[in-house]
Parts: sequence; C-alpha cells; structure tokens
Amino acid sequence: MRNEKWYHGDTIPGLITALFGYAVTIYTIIEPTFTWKAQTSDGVPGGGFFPVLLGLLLGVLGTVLFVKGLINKGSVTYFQLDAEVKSNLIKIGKTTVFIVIFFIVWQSTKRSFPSFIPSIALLSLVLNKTFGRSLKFNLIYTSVLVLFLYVSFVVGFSVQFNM
Amino acid sequence: MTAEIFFNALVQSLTPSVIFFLFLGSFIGTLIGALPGLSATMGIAILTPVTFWFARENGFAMLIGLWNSAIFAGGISAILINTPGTPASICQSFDGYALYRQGKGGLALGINVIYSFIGGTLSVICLILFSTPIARFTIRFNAPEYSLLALFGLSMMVAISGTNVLKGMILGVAGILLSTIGLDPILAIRRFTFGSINLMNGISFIPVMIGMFGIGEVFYQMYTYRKDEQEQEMAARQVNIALGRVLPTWKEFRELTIPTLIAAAQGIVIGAVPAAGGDVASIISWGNGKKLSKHPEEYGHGSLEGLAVASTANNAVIGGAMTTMMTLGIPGDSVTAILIGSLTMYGMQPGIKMFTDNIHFTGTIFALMILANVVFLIFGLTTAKLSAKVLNVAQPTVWTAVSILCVVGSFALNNNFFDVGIMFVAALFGFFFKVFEFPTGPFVLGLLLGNMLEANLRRALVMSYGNWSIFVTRPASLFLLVLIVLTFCWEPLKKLVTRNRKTNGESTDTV
Repeated sequence: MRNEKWYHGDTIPGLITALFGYAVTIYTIIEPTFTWKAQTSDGVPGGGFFPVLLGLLLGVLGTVLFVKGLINKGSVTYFQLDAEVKSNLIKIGKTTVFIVIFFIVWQSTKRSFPSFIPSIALLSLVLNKTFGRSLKFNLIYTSVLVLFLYVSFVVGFSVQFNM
Repeated sequence: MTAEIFFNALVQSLTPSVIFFLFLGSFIGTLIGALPGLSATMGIAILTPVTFWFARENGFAMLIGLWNSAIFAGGISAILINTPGTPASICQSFDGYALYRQGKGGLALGINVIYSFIGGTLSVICLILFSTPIARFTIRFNAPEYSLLALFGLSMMVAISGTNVLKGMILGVAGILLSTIGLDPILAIRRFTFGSINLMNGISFIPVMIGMFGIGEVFYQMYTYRKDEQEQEMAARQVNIALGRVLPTWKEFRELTIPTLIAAAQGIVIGAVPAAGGDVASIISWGNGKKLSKHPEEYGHGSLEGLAVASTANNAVIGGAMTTMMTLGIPGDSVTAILIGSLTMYGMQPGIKMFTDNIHFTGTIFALMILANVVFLIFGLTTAKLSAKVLNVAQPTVWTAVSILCVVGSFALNNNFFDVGIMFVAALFGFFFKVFEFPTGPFVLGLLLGNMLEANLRRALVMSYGNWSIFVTRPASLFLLVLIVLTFCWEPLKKLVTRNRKTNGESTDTV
C-alpha cells in the first residue's frame, strides 16, 4: 500500500511556485521604479505592469497546483527511492559538485596560469570514474576529448578560456 | 522570394565549404539521432555556439544538416533495437523492428532514409512556395498583431501540454517572467538586475537551451538509468540479424506513393502548428495511414507502408516548422526556437524582414534545406548497414562529453563565464522540471516570446493611448484573439461534450 503524505506529489512544487510568484508580486509592488502605469501618457502600462501580472498569475497557478496536490493526498510520488535510484541520485549529486568545483578552480586560477585545459581534463577523469568507466577507457577518452577541445576551441576558434 | 533568388542561392551554396559542413552536420546528426537519449534539440543546442565562429552559410549548413539527419537517424535505433532515437521516431519502431526481426532490416533502413528524404523535400518545397505569401500577409501586422501572435504561440504550447496543462501554464508564465529581467523594452528601466551588469541585457536564450537540453537531459538520463535494462539493451545491440537488401522494388515504391503523400501533407500542416513536433505528426499520420490502408492488419507487424508513412511524416514536419519560424517568428518546435536565437545572434530577426532585408540569406536557408535532404539521402543509403555500429556506444560515454561540451559551448558564445552559470542553473531546473513532469516546451517558448509579447503589447497601448479595444477593432488581431480563445477553450469544451454524451448515453440505457 502506498504511503500517502500531504507533501508528496505536486504539493511542494505548487507551494514553491506560489511563494515565488507572490514574492515577485510583492517585490515589484514595493520597488518604486516598477510602476503599474507609465509616467508618459495615461493608461499606458509601466515597467512593473508585466512583472506584477505574471507574478500574481504564477502565484495563483502555484496555489491551484498546491491545492490539487493536497486533494490528491500525494497519490503521485515523483522520487521512488529504491536502491538504484538512490545510487543514481548520489551520482547526480557528485557530478554537480564536481562541475561546481571545476568552475571554482577554473575561475580562481585563470589569472595565475592557464588552468582551463588541465581542469577540464581532471573533470573528464573524475566524471568517467563516477560513471564507472575503466581506467584505460578513461585515460584514452579524456586524452581524445581534451585534444579535440584544445585543437578546435583554443587553437581553431581562439576562445579565451583564461581571460 | 523569386525563383531567381532561390536558384542563385542554390548555386552559390554549392561551394566545397558549404558541402563539407552539410556532410559534417549530417554525420553528427546521424550519430545523435541514432543514439537513444540524444535528441536533435540537444545536438543543435550544443553546436550552435560553435557555428558562430564560421561564416553564417557554413554555420547554418552544419545546423540544418544536423537537424534533418538527426530526425531520419532516429529511425535507425527504432528499427534495429526497438528504441526510438528521437521522440519523432516512435512510430517507426512499430513496424521497423518487426521488419528487422523478419530479416528485412536493410529494407527497413532504406525505406526510412528514402521516405524521410521524400517527406523532407516535399516540406521544403511547401516552405519555398508558401512562406513568401504568408510573410507578405504579415506586412499589415503591427504591434497589436505581433503581441497576439506571441500569445497565440504560447497558447498552442500550453494546449498541447497533454495532461499537464496547469504545469505547462506555470512554466509558460515563468518563462515570460524570466524574459522581463534586464532593461524594460519601452522605458529602459532596470528590472530584476540586482546591480548586475550581466543581467542588464536579460537572460540569454541559448545558454538556457544548452543547459536544459544538454546537462539537464544528462542528469535525467542518470536519474532514470537502470543497469540491468542497459545491459539487456546493449546485448540486443550486439545481435546481428541479416539485414538484406536496402532499396525497395519499383512495385513497392508505387504502392507507397499515395499513403506517403498524404502523410507528407499531414506532417507539413502539423509542423506549421507551433509546438506540435515530429512525434505528434508521426503518431497522427501512422494512425490515419492505418485507417486508410488496404492492409490495416499489417500495421504494427512489419508493414512497409506503416514505416514509410511514419518516416515521411516526421521529416515533413521540418519544412512546416520552418515556415512558421521564418514568416511569423514563432518557433514550430524547440529546434526552430534555437534557430531563432541563432539568427538573432547573426543580427537577423525572423519574420517579414527575412523576406525584405535578408532575402538572399533566406534563399540560402531554403537552398540548404534542399541540399541537406540530398546529403542525408546519399549519406543514409551508403551507410545504412554501417549505421548499426553507432548503437554500440553506451550512455555513460555520452554523459561526460555532453557535460563538458555544454560548459565549453556556453562559454564560447561570448567568452563570458556568466553564460556558463546561466547554463548550469538552467540544467538543474531542467532536471527538476523533467522529474516533476513539468513540460519544458512552454518555458522555452515563454522565454523566447516573452519580450515580443510585452514589447508589442505595450507598444500597441502606446499607439491607442491606453485603449485596450485596439486588440478587437483591427480584423487581423481580432482573428488572432478568437484563435487564442479557441485554443484555451478547446480542451475544456471537448471534455464537456464528452461528459454530456456519456451522461446522455447512460440516461438512454436507464430508460
């Protein structure tokens, strides 16, 4: 039997959407430059017209989704966490962390030395390891990929990765 | 578009560099299309930044070659391993795989190439014939019509969000909201920039697409990855059943002419509808083909006609989608959405200006569409049996390359790390949208059309001194308004009629 909980299904996405929509509406209303009407001529919408309207609409639609989720009592569960899905989610988490670390290393060291190509090679090695590829495959794959990137983007297109 | 401009463009496109890039695009497209999980949209999103380094003819040659080939190549895995390479090839697996099991894999692959070519070419001929009159009609369009046109595009996208209309609407609105970031199009007020100079120009569309359809898709594939299923699939790929002849006989070809012409017409019309892509066209054409067929019982059990109809329809969509994009500036599908971004990067705006200021480049695009079909016909027929080898690539092999190419591609757009950040955030959102079954199409369209909607709606109100009746007093805008209302009301009305019929049926039974 399914474990039905109020926070399953569309309740959380609905709540987040509603809160985001209302937050945009409130921010737009209190921000003085975002006027509902333009100062130039009567009846012409100002810079705040669309954001207020869209924020409000998003809030209402999010509320409807939240209420629908509550009515359905969590009969839809998106993350069916069996052992394999958990392992997949860990892989996604690791990939995200590795990419973020790569961004930090690339951006923080680019002025001191050309770090992009070594960093991308390292990222390729780490990702392939995360995806369970053999060391031999990993080394050949990374060499080919990095060589391709270097020849096409750095030499061919003169992209300034270290600027 | 006169015949002279088109033929001049065709002749000028026959240069070694354009042909090389068409073949290169076709090669990459075949790889992408044949591998399940990689779509034409992902390929175009990743390659678009690369094309900005080429002459625009060469860049478009590569993208158009890739697009046309990826759609036809989706049929390769549908035929050989019963797994559609792209969503548009779903119906090709119904008959194609059965033909392969009967030892007619070569013929199935040949039919896939030939009828994809026929569908694609007929749709391009329609594009050439009809785009100029449609574009000419839009000359009378002004701000009210353009704002409603953008709204119509959005309404279509929401209407075909299937069972997720509410979620489609949420993402459509979120996309438009995101497009309001940056300078206000009328008054140049800074909106949601939070002091960032990078946000002054708004959120770039292409990094969002790269993230959402690149790393976002990789994350989703990782999430749904099942090791045992993957191993079974890889084992199935290793099985080599004899493929046999590739070309159909003259008798077979004659028998397939009428059903495939009908499928081409359906594909072109469906393609022209914003957001209705190859999958919709393929399913509708296959279903109608079965209804009209002399041998409906063969459909789904290895019918050559069923395979030919599905192959024709999914490539016929391309010309239809291009017609909507080139003439109205509204994307027919996610690939044309990226092509709009690409044209904008080259300083061109789809719509009437493509047929006035940029008429020669429009002719080049049409010529490239024809040439792309010829190139994938040659490429597809000569490598039909070899293409089976492509399927031996495992999913994780692709994940690393796609992730890294997304980073490199989004940076190469403007040599700006901010675009990489946008791409990565879009990837995370794209993943969660897919997990929570939010259709991403309306979001993309909202982001792309949001500015067109807002700028023209406010411009229209400036024209009318704030009088909203401007949207109903002009015939063209009134017509568009009626279409929008009908689009939004269509599903609820259909449900109401069905419910009434059921209720009437039940009451008759009771009596």
